[in-house]
Amino acid sequence: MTAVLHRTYSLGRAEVLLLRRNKTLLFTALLLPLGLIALLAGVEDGAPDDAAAAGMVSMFTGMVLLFVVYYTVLSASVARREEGVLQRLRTGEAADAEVLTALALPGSLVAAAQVVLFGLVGGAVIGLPVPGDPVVVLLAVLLGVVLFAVAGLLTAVISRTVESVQITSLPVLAVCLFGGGLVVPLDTMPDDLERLCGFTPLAPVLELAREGWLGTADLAGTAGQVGIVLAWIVAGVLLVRTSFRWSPRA
Amino acid sequence: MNAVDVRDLTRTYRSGAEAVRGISFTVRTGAVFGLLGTNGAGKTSTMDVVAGLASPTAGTVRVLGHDPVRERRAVRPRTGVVLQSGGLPGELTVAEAVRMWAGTMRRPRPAAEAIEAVDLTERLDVPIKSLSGGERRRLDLAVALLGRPELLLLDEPTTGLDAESRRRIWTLIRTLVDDGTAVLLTTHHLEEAEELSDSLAILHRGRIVAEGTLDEVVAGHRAEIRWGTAAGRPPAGILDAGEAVEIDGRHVVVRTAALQRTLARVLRWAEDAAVTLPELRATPASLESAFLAVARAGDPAHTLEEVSR
Repeated sequence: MTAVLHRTYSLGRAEVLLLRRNKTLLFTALLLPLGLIALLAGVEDGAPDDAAAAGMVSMFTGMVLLFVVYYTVLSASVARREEGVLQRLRTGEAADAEVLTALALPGSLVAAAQVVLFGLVGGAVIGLPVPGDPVVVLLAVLLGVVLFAVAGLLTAVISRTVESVQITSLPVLAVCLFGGGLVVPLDTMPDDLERLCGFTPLAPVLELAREGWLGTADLAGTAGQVGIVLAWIVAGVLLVRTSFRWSPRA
Repeated sequence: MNAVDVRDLTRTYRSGAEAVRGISFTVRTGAVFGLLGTNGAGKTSTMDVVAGLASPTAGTVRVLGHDPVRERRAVRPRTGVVLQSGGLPGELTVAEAVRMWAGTMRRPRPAAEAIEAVDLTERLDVPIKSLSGGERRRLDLAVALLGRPELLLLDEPTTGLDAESRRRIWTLIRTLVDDGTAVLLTTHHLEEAEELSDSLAILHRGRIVAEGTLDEVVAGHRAEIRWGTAAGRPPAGILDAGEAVEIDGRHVVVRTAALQRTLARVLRWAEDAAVTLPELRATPASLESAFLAVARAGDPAHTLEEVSR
């Protein structure tokens, strides 16, 4: 176990260095969510009510998962594959799962740090309430990070170059932004469509985060949301195992 | 025990293209086996299977006594691999890349030792993308050496390098072999194969068409005597039966299995007939002639430029 952690840490540390040196990716990963906090602080006048707070939590969590975790993992996977790095790593002692975990490490760390920062800044500047059920919030962030890291790896399968991820990421972004209620609030949709959107990948994660933050989560609802996210994760992991490409495509 | 045992290996791609067609060879412990071939001969496809990056379509491959795909965990700590593509992130410095690799190994040699072995100590803080081609290849080799491998798999390790860089890498490989490391080397440089290989195979269109030590591969191929066509062909009776004379552009070419005796006869004829033999050249049978013979046998379009590019 120590050896696994040591190998993953060593590869992950290199990934963090590479993220720090990629200005575009670093901008997306750090400044976009920070800018979102500033925007929310500017728009909100006084302490937000529950509905407004729920909206902020959804918006922030969704943006972090999509533009920090998903986009960073996707870009890093394609870049390393096209440089031949992934193929070469497969000739070494690190197992496949360790290599892929290391790819997801920087985005996940940044996402976790930003959620904490959001809680602190949101509380101090916007008057956001303290999370009512932090365990559920933590669970939502954890499951969301794993799910969108897997989605990034999966999208890498169909991405030929680093430049092409701007196109290949669109379907996932569209489904998640729309299905997660970030573009159009879910409760304004027709019932059938709203129910269907509840099964898209981002929706149950945001629901968990929202309810955890507001302290309104109940066991049955939480179990249902967790079940949907786990189903997506299991399906994604199985697809990654069978279809992930390790050698350069371009 | 052999370091590598390949038996009846076939590799067919999804497209149906047969890259490797039933080849067999062994790499002895502490020896270099060279797999020589033109581009597209199947060298890298073979190397990918031996390195455990791809499964064979048919046949068996054993690396240090193990299946390289199913028993990766047993094989990987004991092998070092240099792929054609390099495969180190260009944004990392030399030191960072070596540290990253060392961190994935159970018993790595000190990073400084590996870097010193390839003479990159002065370039520790340079990003990999800023290294020259030769320096990058040496770094690839340093990373492959980190685990003190019993077997090195080198896929065209000197392609694109200048003569000096190539010689440096050859010297390093020879030092490792002298210390007991086995090496499987693919190359399309005839000189590299001659310089390094204890035994070799010529791969052509997925099949081994010649195999053995350098002497064994060269044996049976003819030496060549050539001179300018201005002097004309030698008269009948000068040459033994079976010795061929042909015109190759501006030269008369005699191919012979007995270079010294035939050369003496040709010189005697020229002396007696007072014929000057312009641009006279005698070349013993070589890997080059053996290679060209087997390549031409399969495809007359192959040229020496293609082989040694």
